[in-house]
Amino acid sequence: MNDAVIVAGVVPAEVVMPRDLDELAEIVRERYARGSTFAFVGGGTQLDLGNRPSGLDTIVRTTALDRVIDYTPEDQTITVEAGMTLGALDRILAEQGQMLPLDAGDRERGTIGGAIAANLAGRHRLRYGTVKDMIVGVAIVRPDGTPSHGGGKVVKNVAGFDLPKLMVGSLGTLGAIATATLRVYPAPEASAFVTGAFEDDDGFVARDAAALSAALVRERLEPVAMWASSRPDGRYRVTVEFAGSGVAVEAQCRACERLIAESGVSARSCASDSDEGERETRARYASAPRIKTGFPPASFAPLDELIRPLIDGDTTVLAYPGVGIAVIRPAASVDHRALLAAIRKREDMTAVVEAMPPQWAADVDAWGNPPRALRLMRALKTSFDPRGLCNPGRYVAGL
Amino acid sequence: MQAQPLAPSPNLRERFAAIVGERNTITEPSDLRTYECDGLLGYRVRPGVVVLPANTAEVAACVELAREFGLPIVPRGAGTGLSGGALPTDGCVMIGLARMRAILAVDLPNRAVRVQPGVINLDISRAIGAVGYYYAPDPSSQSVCTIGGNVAENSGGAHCLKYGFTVNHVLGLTLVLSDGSVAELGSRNGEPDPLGYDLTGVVVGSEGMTGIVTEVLVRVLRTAERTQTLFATFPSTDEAGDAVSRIIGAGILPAAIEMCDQLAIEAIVAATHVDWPLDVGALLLMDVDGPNADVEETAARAQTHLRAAGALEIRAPKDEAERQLAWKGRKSAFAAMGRISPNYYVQDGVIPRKQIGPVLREIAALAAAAGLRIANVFHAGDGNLHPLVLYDARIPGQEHTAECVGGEILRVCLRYGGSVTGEHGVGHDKACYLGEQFSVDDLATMMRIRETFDPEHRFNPDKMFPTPRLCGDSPGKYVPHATEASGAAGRG
Repeated sequence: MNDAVIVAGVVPAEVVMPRDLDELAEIVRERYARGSTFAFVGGGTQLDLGNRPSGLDTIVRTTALDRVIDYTPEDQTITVEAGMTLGALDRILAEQGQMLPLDAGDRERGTIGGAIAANLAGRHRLRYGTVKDMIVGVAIVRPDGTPSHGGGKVVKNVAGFDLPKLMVGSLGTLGAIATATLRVYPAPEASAFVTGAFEDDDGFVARDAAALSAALVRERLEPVAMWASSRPDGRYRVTVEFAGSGVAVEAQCRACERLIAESGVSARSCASDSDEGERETRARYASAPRIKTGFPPASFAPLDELIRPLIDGDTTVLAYPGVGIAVIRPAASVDHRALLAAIRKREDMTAVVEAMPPQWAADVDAWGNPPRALRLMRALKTSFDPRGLCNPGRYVAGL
Repeated sequence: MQAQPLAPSPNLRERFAAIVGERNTITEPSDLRTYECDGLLGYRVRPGVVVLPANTAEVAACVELAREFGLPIVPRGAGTGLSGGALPTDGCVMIGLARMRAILAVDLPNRAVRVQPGVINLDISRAIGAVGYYYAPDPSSQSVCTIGGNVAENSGGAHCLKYGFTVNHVLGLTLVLSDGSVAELGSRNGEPDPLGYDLTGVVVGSEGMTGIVTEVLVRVLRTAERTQTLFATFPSTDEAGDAVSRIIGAGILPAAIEMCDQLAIEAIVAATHVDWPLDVGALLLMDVDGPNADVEETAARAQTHLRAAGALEIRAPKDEAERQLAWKGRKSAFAAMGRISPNYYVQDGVIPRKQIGPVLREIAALAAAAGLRIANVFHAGDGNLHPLVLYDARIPGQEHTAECVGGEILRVCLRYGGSVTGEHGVGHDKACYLGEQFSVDDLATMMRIRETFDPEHRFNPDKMFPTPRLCGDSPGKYVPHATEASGAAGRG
């Protein structure tokens, strides 16, 4: 039992921890039959995500479900139980020179199941995509306790409806993820960072950062990540990350330095053991409040223009222009409601409160405008969970 | 639950013609013949009427009218599908999307292109190729198949090994639902992580059973700085399969690795002008792409593994024309079978890619036992087999034998932990095998998803799901859930 689990401000009546997948199904079946509300929690790294649950009798913690079911390095696929931590998975894969290129803040706590349910993705999505591009199979337990599979163990498969894709980002509202089969990738031989703009430089304005992102595509460089972090003066420091064979990384770093220098900003390369990556991770997953905005990749400059009058120098912005994501940590002085409203007014932008501070919870919706296909989403939710017991109230538009 | 055709109403034609126009309403038996089947040639069913709408509003009106008449609807793109996904249901309203072939918007800064469903796959790359962009999924039929069909089947292709399938390249969709309403799913302009469930991911690959897709927002990619093609021959498929395992196992991710066995080489050489040797057991055709320095190094490493696996000869095309010719040879492989056999049955199954050698031997044994020949030409890099079962329809019983061998091949794939389809879809052809891959509960969950979109089974009834009517009373073999497979539980 773990009394420390508080989901979006709500303390559950009980926390249960199934020891195996059969017990998981049994717990869900039993709670559903008796009309209890329940939610699934892995490492508990995303408990500030989403709205306040409308009911939470039971927390089902998946952390004891941490076994490898099948790993075939030659096929670059692995099947694991959902409660395995990303860190544990990293170590298993590393023994074979492989990796799951899915970023997370706390790999020793965050679980595979949680990463799928919350659709976690960080800077490396520029090259590797998101969970959707890595998941090839799932076993779930439906809210009524029925175990069910979708997809399979092979990397290519179009048999049947795509249950794995449906689970990605569904925040546990369609049932428990029991196991997942993931496509994994060879770990690159080398990696390096190129940074542009330092404390004493002019730095990039958003438009320049966006132009650099476009230039990387135009020049056919293939970075694994590129981000721009704001400075107090409103300008940005940019970092580009390359990975691959040593020779190729070296060649791409040189080409990238030239591109940065062309925009009149000093550039320098640093080896993979510099703290560039760690610094990004710390900023990306900093504590609440944290807003994740999504925008068309070419719209970083318009986004910056939109938010600039509404934030101040103590607010940090960490943007991934090529992907179309920016993470904003508004300072206490910022009117967060006005900021959210301004972004959400734009039809092709989103603003999700990734980490909600308690003082916002009363008058802020974590997600924003209901999606256009809400009617279908509701029908789907009802079909999987007719009694509305599985993680109620927390997800998009009350799904 | 299923929509059953009523007796054709005398004013049915008139009513549809009022929506799409006389010319685009087809009811003459001689004109309907074209629509009686798709690429799965063994089955023909006549649709009641074929309508060819021009836009989303016309599609929606046709769907509403079909519903009023109580008729099932079968959507159709170019009709190149190989699993009978566009096979009509008797007396159905077939909605053909061939007239909806406009590229609506090209937005290269956001690497997104909005198209109507009747746009030919290759036409997207043609439209943006001059400025150095392309659409990645490349089924062999890409010069004729449509994006709408690709969305329905989640089509793959040779280069999906590195770049992923249709589902990884569709950002958003417009979908006409069974009640005639229009749903907008996914991203509007390429913004990532649209809110809520990933319904786009579910509609892609739903084989026309969720609705009619009338607009698609696809992601397009910048062409790589360099593409290096390698061609290697081997004494047999065992060594070629080993080469694939070695390359993938070494952490090399080529854009594509395709394999042809001796019989496939013979057919391709007869049908095209490639100068491939005929005295080898197998060949691999491989693309390595990316930035210059990366390609050079990766291609060199790949060659080391090809040699270590026992390659007889490794060559690189001397110029782009020769490269194109090699790929043309590969992509015309199915059609080339006509050179060596009066008829053939294309199978599509997936196995773990390290098992290529043993599985091909089992397939050869099945062929020998049935007295038939099987050619293999397939996406070796992701373990997606395409055995081509050769037969002569004039010999009584041989077509049936070929189909049975095809079915046994799927069972071999499942025994090795694979899938009954990697890219052609389940459709009509494999509905009865889906129950051997998934349990009754698995299929029931999939049915819930389908019925969320189409509670009446209006769209493409009789596809994908095994039913007693299609498959007899046996709903398929029991597949253990992970709880049991992991040893954690039994099925008490």
